[in-house]
Amino acid sequence: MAKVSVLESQLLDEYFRCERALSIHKHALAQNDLKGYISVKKIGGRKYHYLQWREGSKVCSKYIKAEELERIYSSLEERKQHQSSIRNLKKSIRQLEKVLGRKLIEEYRSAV
Amino acid sequence: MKNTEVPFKEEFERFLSCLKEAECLDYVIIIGSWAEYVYQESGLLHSFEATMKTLDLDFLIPNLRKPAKKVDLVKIAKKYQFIYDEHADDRTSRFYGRDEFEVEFLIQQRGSGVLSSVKSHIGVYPMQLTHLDMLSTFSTKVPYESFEVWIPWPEAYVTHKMIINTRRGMKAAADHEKIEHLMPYLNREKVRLIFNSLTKKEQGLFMSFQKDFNIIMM
Repeated sequence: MAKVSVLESQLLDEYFRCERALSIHKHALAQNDLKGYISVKKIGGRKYHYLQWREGSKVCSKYIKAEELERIYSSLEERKQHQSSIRNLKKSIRQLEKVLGRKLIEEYRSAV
Repeated sequence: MKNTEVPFKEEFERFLSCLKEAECLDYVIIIGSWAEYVYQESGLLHSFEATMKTLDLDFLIPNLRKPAKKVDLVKIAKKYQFIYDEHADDRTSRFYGRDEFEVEFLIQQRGSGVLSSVKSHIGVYPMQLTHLDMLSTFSTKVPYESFEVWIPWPEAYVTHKMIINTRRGMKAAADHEKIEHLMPYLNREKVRLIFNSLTKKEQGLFMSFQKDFNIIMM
């Protein structure tokens, strides 16, 4: 196994951590199947919340009960966080692959 | 490294908040790179600037059976939007925050032979490693932001890195840099105190490191 510099070892460490984290966030996103956004409509002076999402070209809508609102807001927020993390991690992995090279990464994969 | 430059500072503090809510902060010790950051921020090492090279957060659990009343840290961490995962091979616990922020727990390995996963009273399965005792024996509580956290003495932190250097593989060179960076700030009397508490094997590893890298700690 070729000797690596301090910087390369830290970047390799970072690479493998990003890979692990990407897998975790992808799995968490797959577990969270709630999609869409919440739209608020005012009818007769009262506010009604609807979960809206797209299926193909069609926009679907479902009324959200008051007691479910917090849970749904929370799930949608979590979903956004996972999507953002996945985007950032994929970008980091691409950048690290460019810097380190795939050959070095594969050589050290078994050492981690 | 200045406050504003530390990546994942927010994640670090969010996990500390989670531990605080779980009333677990007193039962874990911050080790690894984040301990160096706390040395800097708490003022424990005057004018020291941490080099934050790894972003994973490691905690040492000194006593598996503390607190006396068991806590479900996993449940509380999920409330703080940390993802919980157990390693497929050895069932050790990890938490994941935003992007690649990762949290691990460790305990001192007892005995030798096959390692089996044990659940701590804070509700996680820590990874078992050798030579960790010195980090808990020689530790101190310091203020950090709105928290009070346990960290190893810098002298214990460095002694530990010296002792484990030969098993660190590709991280050995990075650890060597950290040792050299911290050396000017250490109290040599404390190093001697720690050295005297080590096993013969650990003392041998310490002396070998000194000799191999021409670093004289005592």
